[in-house]
Amino acid sequence: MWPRRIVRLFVIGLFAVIHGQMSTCVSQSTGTVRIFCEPGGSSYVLDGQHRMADRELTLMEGPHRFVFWAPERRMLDTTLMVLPNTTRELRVQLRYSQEYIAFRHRADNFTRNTRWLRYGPPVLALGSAAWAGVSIKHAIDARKDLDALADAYTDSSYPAGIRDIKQEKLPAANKELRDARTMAYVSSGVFVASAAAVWYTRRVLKHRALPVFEDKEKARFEGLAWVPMGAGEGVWMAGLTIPLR
Amino acid sequence: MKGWKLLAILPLLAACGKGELDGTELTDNPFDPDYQGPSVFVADSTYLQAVPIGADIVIYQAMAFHVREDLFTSPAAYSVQLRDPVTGQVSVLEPNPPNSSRFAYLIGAPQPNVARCFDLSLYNNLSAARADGLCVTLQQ
Repeated sequence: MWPRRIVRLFVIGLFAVIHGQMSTCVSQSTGTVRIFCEPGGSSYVLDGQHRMADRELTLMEGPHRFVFWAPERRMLDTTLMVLPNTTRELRVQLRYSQEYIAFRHRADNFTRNTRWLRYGPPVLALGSAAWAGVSIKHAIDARKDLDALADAYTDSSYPAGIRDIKQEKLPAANKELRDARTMAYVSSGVFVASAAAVWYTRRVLKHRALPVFEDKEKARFEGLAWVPMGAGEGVWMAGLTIPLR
Repeated sequence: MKGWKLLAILPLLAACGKGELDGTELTDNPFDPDYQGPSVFVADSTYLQAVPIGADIVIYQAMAFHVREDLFTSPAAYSVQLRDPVTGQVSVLEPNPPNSSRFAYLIGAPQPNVARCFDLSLYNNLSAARADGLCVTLQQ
């Protein structure tokens, strides 16, 4: 049998040890984290629970998980060891997501193609119209030259001159008319085709929709936040993006 | 909009216009070496004509003919080239009287009842049109 005094001292000592342990827990230190994230509008989820955008945090010492995200950027998942009574800088640069790069590529193609469709056919139509106009005038002039030669034949009383008209000038004028007419037909055809292209591209442009960027990283990021509700329960935070135009 | 319609119509106008001119179809001008119409030379008469040459008087057979100017496609001044197919001699005749369509050619050594034929062609600027034969016979 232990003497009562010894038992009392043991109990007091035990309390002292337990109290010492508890005071150690209560006095666990904190550290400060300064976040420098590029781009500026980024946000992050801390320890899978808190969605935040603060740039300076005071956290309990120990490891903390950060998942950074910004619109159009790829998520960055990293763990930072917070040291007691220390300020640490966390520099993060988020890279563009593959989806955004693909979207940018599609959007650039869309813009370039739209520009071509908008301005290409009208310019082509104007050019071919001018070409057709010049060609038709050339054909008309060639026809007039031929008529003038026919008149010259009728009015001429110079046999050698008539022979020259029939053997030299007339074949040359016929060739000129033939070439001019061919050119007039070709240029008119190009003009009609380009006018049709203008009409068609205008129709196409009316129904042409700009590519929409679907930020899948955002959906993934917004699904990361777990908001504890107590008693072991909680909800997953999720976001829904509806593009408004 | 009118401009577009006009541009669309112009090629049609050009297409509907006359085509090429075939040189072989141009044969209605009597001055054309390839003239295909009726002869423009018409014999009027032939007769004996005394021509004083110096102190002598030489008898020629005159061949009078005229040119059908109604066949001309346009009014023209001209001469007539005459070629004797027998001798190969070539002469250029002027209208007689001037500015008319009448011509006369004097044939040496008249021979009655013998047809005398010549090749006639309109002539201008040292070039001749189609040659047409013309024959006359001096009746005794």
